[in-house]
Amino acid sequence: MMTARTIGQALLESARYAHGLRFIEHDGQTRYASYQSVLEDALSIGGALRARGLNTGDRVALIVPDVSGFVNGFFGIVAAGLVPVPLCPPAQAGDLATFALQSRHILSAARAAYVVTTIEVASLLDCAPIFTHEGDAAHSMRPSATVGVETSALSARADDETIVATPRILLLDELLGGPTLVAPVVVAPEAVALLQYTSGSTALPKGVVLTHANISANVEAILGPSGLDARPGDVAVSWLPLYHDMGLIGMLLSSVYAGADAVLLSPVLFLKRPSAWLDAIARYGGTVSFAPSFAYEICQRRVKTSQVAALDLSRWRVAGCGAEPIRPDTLRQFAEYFAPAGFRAASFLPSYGLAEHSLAVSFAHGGIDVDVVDAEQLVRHSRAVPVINGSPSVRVVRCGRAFPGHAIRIVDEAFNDVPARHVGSIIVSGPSVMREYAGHPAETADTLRGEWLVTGDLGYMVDGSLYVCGRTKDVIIRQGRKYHPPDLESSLSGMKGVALWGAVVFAITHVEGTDEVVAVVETRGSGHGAEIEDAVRRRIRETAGLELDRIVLAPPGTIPRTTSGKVRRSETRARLEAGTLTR
Amino acid sequence: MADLGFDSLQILEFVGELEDHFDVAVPLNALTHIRTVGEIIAEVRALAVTRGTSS
Repeated sequence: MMTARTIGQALLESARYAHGLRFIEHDGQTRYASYQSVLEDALSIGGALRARGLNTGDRVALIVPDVSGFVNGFFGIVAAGLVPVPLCPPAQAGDLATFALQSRHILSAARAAYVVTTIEVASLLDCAPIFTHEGDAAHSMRPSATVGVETSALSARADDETIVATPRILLLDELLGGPTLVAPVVVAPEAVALLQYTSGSTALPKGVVLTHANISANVEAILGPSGLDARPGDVAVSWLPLYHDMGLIGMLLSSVYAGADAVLLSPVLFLKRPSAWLDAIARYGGTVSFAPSFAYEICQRRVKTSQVAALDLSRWRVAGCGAEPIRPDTLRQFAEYFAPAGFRAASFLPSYGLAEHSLAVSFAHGGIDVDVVDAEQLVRHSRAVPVINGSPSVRVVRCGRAFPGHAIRIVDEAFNDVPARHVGSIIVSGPSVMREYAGHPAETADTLRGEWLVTGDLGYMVDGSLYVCGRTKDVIIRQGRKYHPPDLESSLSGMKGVALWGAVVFAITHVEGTDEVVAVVETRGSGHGAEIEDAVRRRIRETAGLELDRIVLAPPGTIPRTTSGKVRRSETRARLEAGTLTR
Repeated sequence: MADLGFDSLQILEFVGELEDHFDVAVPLNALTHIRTVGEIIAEVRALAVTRGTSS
């Protein structure tokens, strides 16, 4: 196994290669920066941060909408020996209220004393003093003259909130002036490298704490023969957001560690014009690109047949697919549609991973391999039995084997291994496993059991290969975004016509593999059914950006609850599916 | 915009189609503030007019 390299070391070494990064912004403007010039900008920004009094290990939030600025800010923070905390910029957050809420939560939870951003974003950030609960005080930032600690207010407060700090805004443009560092500040491989706030529109995401050793181990696994099998001449092309693990670690950092060329597109450009992704692969000879299933689906829907013939996708040898359940039919249709452009279905690389494991857990080589199993056996008996004589079936995609130095197990509730083709909880171990969730010791203890990380996903093994087939946690995934039912349910609680804590939201996976997002809502008062449905639909859309597929209105008392009054989500779903929820 | 059942993906798809049609680029800042179809159209119209007079 290779020795761990810090991100700063990898950046320094990348500058020796005659390669670099090409940025394609939301308006199509393109700029190339050699690794040498990426390093020089990082040393200037890093020097400017140190000159402002920031010290090794300080956490610095990064909110920069343009790709090139984000990369500069990220490596500047790293070069200064600081810990970047990337945040979703406002144009992708859904709406300004969500952006402000989420940013404030993350700034507070991450204890980021500084925000590196642009002047436009700074004007949207309401940097009021950030409150934190007293339970977090053990980690509180040391007092600093540059941080507005309001001690008088602190002592005046009677409740359990204390004012910790007002994060200071640092404008990226002003940091480029240096003074420049001679080299990246040296940090230990065991030092914290990154706080990764998990994707999605959950109101209160948790920060995954990763060390340089974690990232180095995962990147080496990704680049190695069980991963992409990286080779000279590889060109990565990515539109994935860089504040998200798959874009940041999978595409950007992997390229830097490999010293390979990468083309980074703005996600906004991709969403406006999906053909920009495929155009970039064709134009720059892209060999490696990852995306969630939905990206392949929108390309097929929005790239015109006349455009397909003009593309050359023949060099694309790794078309990675992950971050949300893999839909084999979507990928098959993409392969057929883009075959005239030289795309090969064998290039598909289904993958499984999670932010808590730095990023990747396993890659499946050789294209999409589907296991067709009996639906009844899977749902009722947690057994993945190959289907016979046309009974209802579920298609599960093979996600490959554990990387060298890493391990995957499938276990039951008592943590005992289950036999092949038995569905259980997926747990993983190895050097990629996160250190902890920032400031969440209870969740950390639930998720890290000794050396094993409990992924929250369900799966089974066949001949050492992993098949992922659901989640133990009730997370809803739509278009690569994760939605947490408790957030959705609390936004409905007590609104006009809805009983207090009278809503349950969950996804039902149908036999053909499609997901249906359902809200069961207990009504109150004399409101009109259609109006309540309308209001519920609108509330979920506005607070979470999620579209409900079905709303079931029911009288109070319909939703099963625990003795302490908590809704029983899976029981509600089971009763709805069995037709016994409403009588 | 949210009233029409657009999620942010659909908003961006729509902006992309208008940009292609009118050959303009909507600034990123503007995207942050746009909430209604009328606002998108006003933004694109203003950009198209600016482009028309400057070229």
